[in-house]
Amino acid sequence: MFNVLADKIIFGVVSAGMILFSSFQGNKATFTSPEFVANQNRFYISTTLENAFENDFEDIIRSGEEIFIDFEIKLEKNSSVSKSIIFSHSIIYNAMDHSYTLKLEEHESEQHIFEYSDLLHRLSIIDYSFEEYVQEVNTITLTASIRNVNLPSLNKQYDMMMLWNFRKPKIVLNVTDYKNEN
Amino acid sequence: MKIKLSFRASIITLFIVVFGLSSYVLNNFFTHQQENTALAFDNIQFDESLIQLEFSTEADSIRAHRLINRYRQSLASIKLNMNETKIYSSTLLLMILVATIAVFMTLFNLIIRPFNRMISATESIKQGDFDINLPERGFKEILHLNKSFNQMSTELALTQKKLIETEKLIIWKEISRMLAHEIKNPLTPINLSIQRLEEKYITNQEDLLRIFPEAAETIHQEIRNLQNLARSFSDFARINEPVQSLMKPVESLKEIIKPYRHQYDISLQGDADLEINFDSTHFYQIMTNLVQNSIDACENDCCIKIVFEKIKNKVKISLKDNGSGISEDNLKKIFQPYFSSKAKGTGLGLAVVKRLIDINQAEIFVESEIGSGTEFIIWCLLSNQEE
Repeated sequence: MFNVLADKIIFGVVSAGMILFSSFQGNKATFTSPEFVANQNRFYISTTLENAFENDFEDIIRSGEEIFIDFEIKLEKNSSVSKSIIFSHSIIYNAMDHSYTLKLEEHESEQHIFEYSDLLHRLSIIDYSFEEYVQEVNTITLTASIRNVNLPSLNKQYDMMMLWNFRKPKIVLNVTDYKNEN
Repeated sequence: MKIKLSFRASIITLFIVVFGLSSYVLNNFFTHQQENTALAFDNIQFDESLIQLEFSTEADSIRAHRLINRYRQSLASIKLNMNETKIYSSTLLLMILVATIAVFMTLFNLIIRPFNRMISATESIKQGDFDINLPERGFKEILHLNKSFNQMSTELALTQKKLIETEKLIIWKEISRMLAHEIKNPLTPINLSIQRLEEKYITNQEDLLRIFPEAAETIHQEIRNLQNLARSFSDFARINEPVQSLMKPVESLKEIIKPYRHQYDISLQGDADLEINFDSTHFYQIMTNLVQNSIDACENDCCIKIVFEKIKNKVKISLKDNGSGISEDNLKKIFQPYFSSKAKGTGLGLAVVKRLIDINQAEIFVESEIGSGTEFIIWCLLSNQEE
């Protein structure tokens, strides 16, 4: 609860500061309206991360460092987290053949992509199913974040969340009525 | 609509505008400089195909590869640094702005608060409360100001106390003189009547029977005068707190002038449905006194005009007579207790009127011209419904 409040305060202060003193807009990353299926003991979520990898992302990906996008699915029962599933998507640029290696942890897959737009398309799709009894879950929350990046040649670590204005895109699904919030 | 800002609001607004603008300009300058650096870096267009060249040695190939990698990392670093600077500098500037405003307002309040205290203290003094003691602390100038103010209020309290004592003494002397005079007036005819009765009783008892009714009547009359005098003083001391209610002045005025109408020319004009917030008993007392005063002021062919009208959220009641008028000197004193220009007046009638007017939150004014007559004007509040 306090984390959520702190996130909101930080986002509010950063937004206010930028409105007043900066032309920097950042990326307003959001999830599209999800496709959600809840069977007796199986859940399926499908959504796409939008407006997340624009502006300077290409230059940052081309640094050759591995960039991680973390996703977290929280299953809640009566306002307490009963289970948390974390998986990530990562990208590495290969300068030798101008290709990108995309790893999707949830599918345990690795793809080599040559087109940047194709990379962004595949990187943004979240397509995940997991086993859990429906009666054990009230709410499902999906959030995304970017892991910090370390540029070894400059020996500096960067908080990549600044590119999303320190705001984690979030989607909340009410299992009983399948209602979702973006 | 013209907005008038207070001193505090003006200073704070000015401060925020100046501080905000200068921060904005400074921030823009540095951001612009940064963008120039990034642009310069962007202009170093590395030919990506360099990496695919076949170098003569493996070491050259590795060096070229490292060079391009380093370039790409530097470019990414510059982009990230720029974004980081934009976000952090704007956030930092906002926080500095907020912190500075907070500090500024705290300091400003420290300066303004004593002035606000001074304003309310001055208001209290204006309302007659001299028991004010401002805290003797704070900045040197404010400390000095507060000390001077406290000294002034103490002196004012002392002066007021002395004034009240002096005034009380004067009033008591005046009352004593008045009472002595008013009591002496009826005592003389009583004394003379008794002396006359005694004299006739001794010298001519037949005459005694003849003059007895006349002498007894004189004594009764003067005793009645003394009783009236006592009642007037008692009434003045016993004015009650008003019980205000909605009342129609025209109804009350009709009742008041009814006994006089057959003898005097009294006219009444105004909207019969007008309502005012007034204690009806007090209103009756006020108007009776004023009508009686006007009648007393007329020598012959008494003509009294009573007009009432609604002006904005008030009701104006005017009572005008064609009496002898009041001199300019007397006009200043007519509402003072125990002041009278009439031979048999107690000097309490108009003082009672003034007090009743005051406690009903109304106002009374008087205009007069010797030989032409006098006009009393009363302003009362309309009933709430009509405001």
